Amino acid sequence: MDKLLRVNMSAAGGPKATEEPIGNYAGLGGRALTTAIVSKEVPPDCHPLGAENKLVIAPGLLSGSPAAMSGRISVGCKSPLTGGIKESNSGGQAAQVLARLGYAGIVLEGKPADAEARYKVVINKDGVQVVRDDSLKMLPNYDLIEKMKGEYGDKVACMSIGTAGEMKMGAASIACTDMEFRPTRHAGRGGVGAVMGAKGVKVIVMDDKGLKMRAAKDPEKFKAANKSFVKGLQKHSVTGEALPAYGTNVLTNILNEVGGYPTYNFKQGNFDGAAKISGETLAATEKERGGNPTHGCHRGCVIRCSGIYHDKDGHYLTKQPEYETVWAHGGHCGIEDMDKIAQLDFMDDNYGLDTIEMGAAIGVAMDAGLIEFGDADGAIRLVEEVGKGTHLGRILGNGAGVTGKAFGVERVPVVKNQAMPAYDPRAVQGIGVTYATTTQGADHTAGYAVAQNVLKVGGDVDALKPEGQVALSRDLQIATAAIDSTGMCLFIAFAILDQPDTFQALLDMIGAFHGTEMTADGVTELGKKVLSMEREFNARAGFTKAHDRLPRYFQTEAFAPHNVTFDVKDDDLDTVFNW
Amino acid sequence: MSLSGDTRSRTSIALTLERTALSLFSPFLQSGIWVRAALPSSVQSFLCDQMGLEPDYVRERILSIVLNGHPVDNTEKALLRDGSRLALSSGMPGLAGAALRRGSPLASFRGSITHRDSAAAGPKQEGTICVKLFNLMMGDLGPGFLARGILINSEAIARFLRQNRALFLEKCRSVQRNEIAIEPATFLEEMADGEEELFLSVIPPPERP
Repeated sequence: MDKLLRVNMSAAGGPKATEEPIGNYAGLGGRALTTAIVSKEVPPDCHPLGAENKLVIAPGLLSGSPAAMSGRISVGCKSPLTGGIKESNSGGQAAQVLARLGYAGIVLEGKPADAEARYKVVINKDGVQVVRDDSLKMLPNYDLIEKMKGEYGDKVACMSIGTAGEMKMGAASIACTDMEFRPTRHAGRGGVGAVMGAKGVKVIVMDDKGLKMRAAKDPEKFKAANKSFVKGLQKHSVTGEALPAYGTNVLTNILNEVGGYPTYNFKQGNFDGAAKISGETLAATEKERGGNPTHGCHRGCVIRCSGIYHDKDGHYLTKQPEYETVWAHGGHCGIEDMDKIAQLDFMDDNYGLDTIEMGAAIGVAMDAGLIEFGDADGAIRLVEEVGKGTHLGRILGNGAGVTGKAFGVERVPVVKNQAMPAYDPRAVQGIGVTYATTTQGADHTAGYAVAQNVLKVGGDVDALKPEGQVALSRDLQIATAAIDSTGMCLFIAFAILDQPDTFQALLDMIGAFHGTEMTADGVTELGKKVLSMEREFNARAGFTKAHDRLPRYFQTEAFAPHNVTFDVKDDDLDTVFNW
Repeated sequence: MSLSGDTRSRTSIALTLERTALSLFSPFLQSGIWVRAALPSSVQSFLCDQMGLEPDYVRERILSIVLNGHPVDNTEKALLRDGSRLALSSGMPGLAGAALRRGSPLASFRGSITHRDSAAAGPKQEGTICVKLFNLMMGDLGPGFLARGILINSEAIARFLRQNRALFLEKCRSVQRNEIAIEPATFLEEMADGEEELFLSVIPPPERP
């Protein structure tokens, strides 16, 4: 992982791939690398779909090694949805394979002269080919991957865009194939698929045949640390029991119970149909139909929070939908039919759409009266319109913000034009601080529960005081930026939060692998560095503190059942990045 | 739905159901079951003194507790009253999941909905509360609650058992109504008529030596 692959789509005579030493970007992985390259090489005021924007793809520091949970891959660019810097990451096989091929990152640059051209980038141990293949045009992801399987077999890993990416929609995702060679894992947020579409690249095929796993500098210490790390994950009740048994959708019941489950486009915090679409019900249904509620999304995953969802006849329908997906297409839209929600999840994967943005946009459309809340078949028709690119579909496919403007809706749950996920910021206000201030637009993963009590970034915080929310959000955003840079799955956070020895095992593992010592202070500095680069990019792109706000109605509309409003002061929000 | 009043005058149904079929009741456990309790009672006292759970189990395993929609930090000071709704959960993923834990370092994130300490408890009398068991709690605590007995609407249980008729008839070893044995099939037929509130207990058959 000491080289970068640059693919210049504007090169004279057609796209050209070149390898170069990683140079000044050495030591960076995942989000740290994508952010460093975008902030240094992309003009912040460029058009996100223009030749000046770059799409950077980077595995993590431990990807391609035997390290457990090291399979996240980061995708960075200037976002066509937010207009700011973007890092969106995904599971699947791509990170492991790309890292074994020796690349710290792929940088797609420029723009093809022929906007109708479609390219595939094929990478293996013998080199890189950029091949024009217009037969791929407007193929949905599942059809595309089936075609790739015919050409390259099912042992490769693919990153691809569906029709939404080709139409350069703001909700377009980049799909990564999973262990079954299905396009079910997505870098979903911020319209990264639209940037890949603007580059004319339909699919990147990565083949690590003949290559070995990456080896640690200190194999014995690495092996021991990995063993301890896995043991820590397996003994923790969240990573060792709840997530494997029920997946992330285990959150539905508890969020609904506390009145923090945004329902009917953020009008109330309780959904009567919650138990019908809960993680508990989902897992039971999967078992009953011969699916599987406990399944990893990439090799080396020991948490296995995903699963396989079958239809009523016992046939594969989609992978186990995540909590945010079930919420976006479920409670947010008043839909309580799990089979329809699973079908919507499949369609999002197939067309290449962010499930959060898509569900949020449909909820806004429902609020506008386009279809009724609870109309599952209507929602399916709307996603079909997006996939086909009808005029209505192009509005919806550009996200909740555009949909709200097109239909004159005031209640549009976006920050920096990116839709909020499944946690109402009036009931859980600390999440609202992160939604408002993150560089990424509303994003629940931007400030995760990562080792706050271990890192104590910025000193001890009195968690019970209201002002503690701002300090905690800052700490969490710093820690999350650092973890995103390692390429580790964020779900390791829970074991790390509670078990300092597991956190130390992670540091030891990274240190032993790279032959350096990694400390908690080092993690903090890395996180701050990443956030500083992102903040600076956004400032140069025109963002001010006025963009670090929730929509006004969160401050003025009381949220049932607790009748609370978001009451963190603007002045306090403006201090989140003071360090 | 609320069930309260003199619970002892209700028809009692005792089912002996194979252990593997207890998960049939999961939909009820996550939606809420009504149980008798001596009230008012602290959450801690209800769980340990009335339900017989070990304090270590409560502390280490039941990581999120919600009373009447409010996340609880202090189980000694959160008071159950007649008609209260109590939800029990293991530790949850995500930022929200972490914030909703008892005594979470992220407790301020949900400060606006946190349960505030209740007034001191008065003299106890029998009442009913609704208990919701989420995720790992369904398997851990569900059998105990079902064996102890729950209050349930006969129409709801009849509809549910009819939907699972074949499995119920296969797994049900015995049915007693007001301590008189009846055939499971007869029980299903008669349950279909009328609507009343029942006291239902479900136990697995004795383990074979």
